[in-house]
Amino acid sequence: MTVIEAHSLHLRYPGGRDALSDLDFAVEAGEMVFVTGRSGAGKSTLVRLLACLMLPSRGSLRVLDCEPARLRRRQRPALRRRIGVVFQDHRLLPALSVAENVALPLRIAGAGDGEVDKRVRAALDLVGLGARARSAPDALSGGEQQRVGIARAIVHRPALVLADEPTGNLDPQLSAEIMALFERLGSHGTTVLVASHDLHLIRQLRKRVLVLDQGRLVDDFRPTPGG
Amino acid sequence: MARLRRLHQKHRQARRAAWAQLRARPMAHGFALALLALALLALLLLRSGLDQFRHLGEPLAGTRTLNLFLAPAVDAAAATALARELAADGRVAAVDAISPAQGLAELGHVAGSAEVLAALPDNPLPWLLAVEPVDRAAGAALAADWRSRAEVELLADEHDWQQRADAVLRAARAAMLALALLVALAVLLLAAGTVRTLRLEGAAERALQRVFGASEADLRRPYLYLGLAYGLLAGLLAVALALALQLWLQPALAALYQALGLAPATRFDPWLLATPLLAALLGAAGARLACLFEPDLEAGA
Repeated sequence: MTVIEAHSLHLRYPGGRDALSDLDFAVEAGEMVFVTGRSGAGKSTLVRLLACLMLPSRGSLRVLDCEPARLRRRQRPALRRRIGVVFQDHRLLPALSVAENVALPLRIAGAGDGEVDKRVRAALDLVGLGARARSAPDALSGGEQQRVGIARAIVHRPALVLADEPTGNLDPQLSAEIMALFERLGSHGTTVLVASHDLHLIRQLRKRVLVLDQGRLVDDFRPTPGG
Repeated sequence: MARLRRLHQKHRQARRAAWAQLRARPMAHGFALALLALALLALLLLRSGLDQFRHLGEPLAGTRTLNLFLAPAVDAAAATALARELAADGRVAAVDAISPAQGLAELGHVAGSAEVLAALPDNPLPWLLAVEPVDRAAGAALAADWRSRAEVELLADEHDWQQRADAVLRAARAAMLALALLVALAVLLLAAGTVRTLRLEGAAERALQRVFGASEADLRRPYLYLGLAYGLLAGLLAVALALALQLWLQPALAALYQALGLAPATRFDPWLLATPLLAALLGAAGARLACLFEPDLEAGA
């Protein structure tokens, strides 16, 4: 099943600058894909398009069998609820505990208290932070905060997880741990797309890589089995 | 069914979030609520005061007697003839001729007046014809006809007092309506202002919620509950203060009614019930108003 399908995808900012030009690619269910490129190449913009936070100026984009541009404004939140997003700066809410932060997507979906408790515990256990559920986000290290961000992105069992520079603020060892987490998600059948400029890390994982340069897709590298 | 359950959960969470907002700044919200409550209380007290005034004027409402004080030159025979003329008039339900002697005797029952009356050389009172018209219109017509008669020195129409009291009440009611509109506007704007401030502070949180699929209704709901709570709490506080003030004033009012020979007003004021509900609706409307001016974050979330 194709989870992401882009044809001649184009995005122009209101100022007239082209952020993305004529992108053609598809991502299948369960795939783990990296999007890389220099700063300003359009990685974050692509993530925002895929997260249905922006709409393309031209071309077509299908995400989870929906075409965001054809959805009514009030229908888009339902699509977003099927996607998990991880940010470079975590974006945890400081007034809430770790567990409450992780519960956010479930609360938005209207899940009951029992279900929320169960799923939050499972997500925190998956990222190895089960013991920190009641802590305040500020009391955690940068790596732990990012893991909370990942738990929040997967707690509602989304079909697609998007991560925008998730290791941007982390040291190499923590970065490797975070990537291992994403890899584990991929092995569970979740489609994962990670925008990162960390080529060293990307090479280590030997996954498919989309390379962007000035908004254009210049390479779609697929590792050969055993290569 | 599942959709309803989800919606119920969302409303529950919105109520929790609104309550958390109130608890986060008890002093700031407390002052604003007290201000609103005082405005509503002023309105309730004005309304209660008007009710009391109307109650005090009720005895006048049933009275339509015209008192015709005849000229001193009119003797018993002439007074009786005038009384007969009035009794024959279709607009008159009853007429009572009161002689100067009867009038003096009635005055003598008024405490302290006996000594004064005893000191008078003779009876200064004129004949009095107390006329009961069949209705208000008949009373007005009779008064117009008889006021100009030479035999009538003074015509006292008790209905005049009722009309004056009615005019005062009408003016006061109009003033109260204007005040009510102003207070309603104050509730609306205060709720809108508070919610606007809180929404500005929570912009980052709402942007995050949008990313995870919150709809505009989801994002608005906690603030609508907050506005609702604002109005409801202010309304309840105003009603509690109004009831406390009524209890405090009750002995004084009871004494006033007793002195006037009236039964105290005991009917329940429905506005005591309606005020918190209306204030709650206004608070929610104010919150909705604040949400209208949200910048479009769809593209920039």
